Amino acid sequence: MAARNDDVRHLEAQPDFSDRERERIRKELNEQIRREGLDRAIVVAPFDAVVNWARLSSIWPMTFGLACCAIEMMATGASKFDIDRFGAGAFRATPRQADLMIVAGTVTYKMAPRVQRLFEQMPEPKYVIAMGACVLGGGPYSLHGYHVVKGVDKLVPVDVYLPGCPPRPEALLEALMRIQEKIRSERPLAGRIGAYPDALGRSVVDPRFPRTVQAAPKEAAE
Amino acid sequence: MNAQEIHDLLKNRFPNDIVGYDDQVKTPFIKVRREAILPVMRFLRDDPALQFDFLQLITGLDYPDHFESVYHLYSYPRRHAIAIKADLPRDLPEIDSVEPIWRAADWHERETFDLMGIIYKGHPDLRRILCPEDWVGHPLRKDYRQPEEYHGISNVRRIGDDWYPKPDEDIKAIVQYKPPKSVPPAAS
Repeated sequence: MAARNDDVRHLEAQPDFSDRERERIRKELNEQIRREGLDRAIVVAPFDAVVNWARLSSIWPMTFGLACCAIEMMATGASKFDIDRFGAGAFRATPRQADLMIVAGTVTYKMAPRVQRLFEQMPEPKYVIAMGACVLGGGPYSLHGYHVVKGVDKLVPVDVYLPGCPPRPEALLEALMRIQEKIRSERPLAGRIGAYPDALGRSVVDPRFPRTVQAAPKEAAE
Repeated sequence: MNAQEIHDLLKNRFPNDIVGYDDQVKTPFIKVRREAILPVMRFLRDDPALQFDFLQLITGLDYPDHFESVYHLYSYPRRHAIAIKADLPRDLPEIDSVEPIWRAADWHERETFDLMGIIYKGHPDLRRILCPEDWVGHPLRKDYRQPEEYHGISNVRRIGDDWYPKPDEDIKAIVQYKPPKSVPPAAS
């Protein structure tokens, strides 16, 4: 969705407009468009889509690398491949501020509890990319390596599996775009509008997004 | 000084403690009785003709009937190198620590202890260096058996059916060791 306008006041959910109110807002919008010209056009979109667009355009990965895959991850962050084109260039130094964990490199049994702890410290909603053969299933250490976890999905839930040894930066960007697709398909506000009235009894949106998005109840969808 | 000359010098000085020598291999080595490792090593470092001031590495070897502790030495002033080996019995793989002679031995001996289980007597801080502290066993030993799990993390990868063998089947897959005929049997 191409929302060039940063004024999203009119996109807020208002489930209980009367017809008269709706007509008044429509006239007001038309008047505003006539007054200010088409370059300040108002875009009308589902609130879910706007929220998702904001979320998928600012995925903050965690600064976190375990082995050689991390070198490719750094290359992806540098100017040649430039992960910032996708809004995911702000590598955070703390899991508290991160949305995405890129597990880049061999996970040893010694490291496994730390990886698990870092994932648990991230706020919801959070996503995990398993990058490289070692992280997917142990890679070259799967058969006779005594020290490598046979797949990081034994520790944390993985959203995107990215094979390669190590994967090229383009492949990591592809994995990031898969995460974006996943976010775009979520409905973070489903069934939430109207569920939490504020002090004046008005409907408000609950900002706490559930990790597992469930289908909206029919009453709320209608 | 080449390996033969180093061996002859040592043999003169310690006639009973030098039990083997081979220069037909890539790195010539001298075998030392394990009880005499400290005086021999001290002589190698302090003798003006030898001056082995650099301990390159310590490693361990696992043979069917014995362990070996291997030391690679190099001399910067003399520009020569040699390997020293010592046989250790399987049931009690103990040897004196050379940490008082070369400080570099500290972490090398900890690593060999961690992965091979060789005990270096007199080491100031002999504990695991690579594996977690609560690791069971010494993983580079031939008779090491991987536990089924570590801290609740299973060692077996299952996707559908078992397409990775279980740890027990891994052990069976390892070929039984047979000493090659070209190498003379270890002197004892």
